[in-house]
Amino acid sequence: MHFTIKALLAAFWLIFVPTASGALFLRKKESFTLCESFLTGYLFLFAATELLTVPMLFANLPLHVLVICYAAVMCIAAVGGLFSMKKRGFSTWFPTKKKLQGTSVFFWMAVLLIALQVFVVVRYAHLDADDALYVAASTTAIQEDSIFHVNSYTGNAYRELPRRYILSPFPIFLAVISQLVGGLHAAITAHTIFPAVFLPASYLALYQLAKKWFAKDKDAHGIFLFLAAVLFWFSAYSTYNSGSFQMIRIWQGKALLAAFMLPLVIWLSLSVMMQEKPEYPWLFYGMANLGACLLTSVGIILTPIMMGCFTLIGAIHFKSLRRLAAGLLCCLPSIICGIAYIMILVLRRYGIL
Amino acid sequence: MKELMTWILSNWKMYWDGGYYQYLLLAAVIYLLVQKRKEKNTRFVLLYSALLLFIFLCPLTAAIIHACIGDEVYWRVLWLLPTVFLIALAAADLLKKRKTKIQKLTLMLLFSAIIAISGKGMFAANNFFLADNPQKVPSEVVYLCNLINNKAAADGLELVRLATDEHIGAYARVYDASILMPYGRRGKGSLGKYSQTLHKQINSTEPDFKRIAKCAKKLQCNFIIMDLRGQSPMDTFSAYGYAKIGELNKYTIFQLIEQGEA
Repeated sequence: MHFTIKALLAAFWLIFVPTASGALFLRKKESFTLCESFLTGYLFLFAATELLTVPMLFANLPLHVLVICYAAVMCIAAVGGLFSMKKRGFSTWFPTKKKLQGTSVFFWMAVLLIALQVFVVVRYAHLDADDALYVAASTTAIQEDSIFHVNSYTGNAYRELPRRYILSPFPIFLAVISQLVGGLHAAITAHTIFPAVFLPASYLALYQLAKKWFAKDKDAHGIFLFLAAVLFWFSAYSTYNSGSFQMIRIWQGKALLAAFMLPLVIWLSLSVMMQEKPEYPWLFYGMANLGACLLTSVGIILTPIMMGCFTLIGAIHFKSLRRLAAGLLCCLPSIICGIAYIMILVLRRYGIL
Repeated sequence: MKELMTWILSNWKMYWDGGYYQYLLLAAVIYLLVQKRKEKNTRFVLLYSALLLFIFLCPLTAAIIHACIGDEVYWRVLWLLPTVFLIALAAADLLKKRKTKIQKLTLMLLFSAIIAISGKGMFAANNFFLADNPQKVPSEVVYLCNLINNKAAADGLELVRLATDEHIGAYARVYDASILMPYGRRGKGSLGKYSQTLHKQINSTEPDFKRIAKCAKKLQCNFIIMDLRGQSPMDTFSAYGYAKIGELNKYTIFQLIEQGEA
């Protein structure tokens, strides 16, 4: 299949489908932007992938079954979202000439800088030996038509399931997308397609946050984004900070957690937990936790720490035990994954798993 | 306790080492505390950041997190600190108060210069290079994998099992997952003594070629790709049935041709 068609398929599965499906979850909101819809779509997409992949992994189902189920679920959600968008009129989603003319010059400068960064990460390569696990797990899943049953390092069947990764099967998401994008090689999807989508997505999450502070000041939006882009670009002072992970290996689940999911959780915390009347449903907060579990095993621990801190602050600020309970309930996916992790350890110790 | 604190601080140092972003963050927090403390969202984010720093630095919470995620990646807790967000927020807030666009632009460029001095650019850190293949793996890997696959196809081999070093091994299965290996990166996935020995020897600066050939044959590796480190152990390899089929840069490629007697 021609690469252009594959690029269009990638745009369909990684931009159009999340944006449309996000609208389904925002349909009760008075108004929302395409950016909100896109981000919400990813909350749903990651959460749904976790819910589909983990049971199929334990049921030893082949990868192609997961691909079909994923495509079906996403298409249904996207169609549902399109209907809710249609009700408001499709024309409302596109910026008018007047609106574009009112955009700040600083905003365009930021867009230009971010586009330049996207060009660099797409055009250039970065070698990271962690790919031996993360990307090879995808190529292996495709090669063997299995979900984490073959060791990505060797190609031999696992004697025991890799407990650190089975609850966070992000490489399988990469394999699913690669299959849906006309069977594109997983390494190309990871190293070219994912950065082109997820680097701008991480800036969109920051943009949503900036809007909370500078609601009407468009110059400030642009300045904020521009400086954030400069900060990320000059984050190579150490290989450990989140900026470094964002710029050089955003295709790995842990980098996506640091660059995309954690800013998104802060935005949701301020919009849901820290509001007298939540701007979005509590469900989004729970989906963020579940989605973070998909990305990396560290996400199972880090995300509830962040959500726990905001829950504590919110509960004290609003003097509300109900809020505390709601926050804890949203961390339930992490708690379940944590318990499952311990159970796997115990069962393995007694030779049951 | 002292040991734990030292370990926590070493993680802190490791995270920031080489840059001055931590000072930019401190300046941003001070600015936000002075200028924006009455704003609800700012208060929440600053409170959150303080709580998170407490969690990171407190030996009790550090010990709990350490038990959950291990000691190698404790620095990842600092990912929870919204460093870039707070710095950009404070700077943007300061700049938005300027009256003209020229003032804003000048200050924005000045701040960008300060950031550039405080950190290190992605190109300056040699993070990127131009790849010659769409998979963006080392070109040596592409050449070597294609070579052994073509050879295996020509010889009618159903399976390709490759023993190689860390550099090629890390990307071989990223490029082509049909290639099997007796061990993975850092020896992970090794199934027994032979594969552990093979991994150790093939990556050694003073490799024992006899043990390499013996272990590779025991593990049914039909290809070996390794750096011979200036030596010529062809007789040792041929004694175990391996013949040299090619070379690329520092790497020599051997194939098992089943005529060895050892």
